[in-house]
Amino acid sequence: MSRRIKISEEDLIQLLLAREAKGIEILYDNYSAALYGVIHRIIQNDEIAEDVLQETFLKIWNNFGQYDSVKGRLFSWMINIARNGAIDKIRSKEFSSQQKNQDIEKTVFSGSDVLNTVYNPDTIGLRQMVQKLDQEYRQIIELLFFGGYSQSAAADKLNIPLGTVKTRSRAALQKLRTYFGKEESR
Amino acid sequence: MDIKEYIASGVVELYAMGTLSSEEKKEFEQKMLIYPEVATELKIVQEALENYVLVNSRNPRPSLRAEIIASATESESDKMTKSKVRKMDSNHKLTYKYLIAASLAALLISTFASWFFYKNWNDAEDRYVSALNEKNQIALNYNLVKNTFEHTYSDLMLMRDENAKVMMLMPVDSTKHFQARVYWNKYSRETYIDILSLPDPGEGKQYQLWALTAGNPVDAGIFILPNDAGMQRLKNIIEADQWAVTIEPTGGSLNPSLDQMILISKNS
Repeated sequence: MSRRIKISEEDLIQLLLAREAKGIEILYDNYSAALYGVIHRIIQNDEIAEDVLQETFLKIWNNFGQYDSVKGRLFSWMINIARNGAIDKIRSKEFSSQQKNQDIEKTVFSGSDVLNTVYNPDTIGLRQMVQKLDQEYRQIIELLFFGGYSQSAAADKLNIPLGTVKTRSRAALQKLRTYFGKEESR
Repeated sequence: MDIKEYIASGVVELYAMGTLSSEEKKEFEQKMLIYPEVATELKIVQEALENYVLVNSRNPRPSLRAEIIASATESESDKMTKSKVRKMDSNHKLTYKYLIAASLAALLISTFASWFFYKNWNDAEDRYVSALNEKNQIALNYNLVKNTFEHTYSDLMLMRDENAKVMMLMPVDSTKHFQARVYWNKYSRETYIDILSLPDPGEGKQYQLWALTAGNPVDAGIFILPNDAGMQRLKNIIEADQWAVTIEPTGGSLNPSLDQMILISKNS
């Protein structure tokens, strides 16, 4: 991306803690596409997804003091804010009244269609690898992560034992790690 | 539980995907503080998930950048309202349109209703006032009729009483047409005079009725010439066999002025 600025996570954290306007700009330029991708994947509506993206950035900006690097990576923290905001939105009354009930399952299982919406040129090579991710591994990530399913709901949905949800989650993410392993070392 | 087993269970992945229950989450975060290998494993899993998210990136519309940065960098108080306002703008646009339309319609209806009911109230008030006037008039008339009736009724009862004696008083001067009637109840001793025709007694003069017993006069009271033809109650009389009316100075006299006698009844 043209605007993407190389900055260390530590420097960005310092900017955000100091509430420097530069901080929110870098934050937006570096993460808006990724966060919007998560939100739009869940919400499937441009206008509402934009609202949730705005709410997400305001939450990150205003509650940055709550970020605890011990509990995980900054990007993951932001992804969870975006994901939770989007899932809360589709579960809200106002959403169901505005949307003609876009079925989450349709979203979740239309894997190749969703992957066609990728615009980030940095990740084109990765996309092809992810498409190779086994169907059952992709399903578990889609249901739990993008669908907001609880473990037991996912177990019911996939008709597998609860314990299998855990082991399959681990297997799926280990598979992801092997795909990205090469890229990480760049 | 062995920490390697714990990590291998998939709990790290579930934590990273945000699907642990709050209890499991608390337990995981405690373990992470104690075992650095849990924290390390989490970072690796998160990176994999982050890459998966990056693969699914999608560029929002370019103008959104300025909007979001502006709303974030506004002053604290503005920030809260602005974000709320914008949220309303897009999410509740339709709802608010309907709400505004509904309140305008409600206002219109209630304005019309107010005017309608005010007009009705005014009409009702007018009718109430005229009904009230009518009622007062009727009450007045009723009282008048009632008084007249009571008067007439008591006169009638007096005349119908079996103990009432009626005496006709005729003019002493037989060329005149003066007349009066005396009703006397010898048990109750009540005495009434009913003037049929008498002239004005003149200035400083009044009529006086006398009850005669064997020619001896007893004062039965003075009376006036009334405007209506009602009966006048005079003094109670114990005994009488003849009645007479004289003209006396105002206030009456102890003894009758015989030369001024106008009426006399026949001796009973």
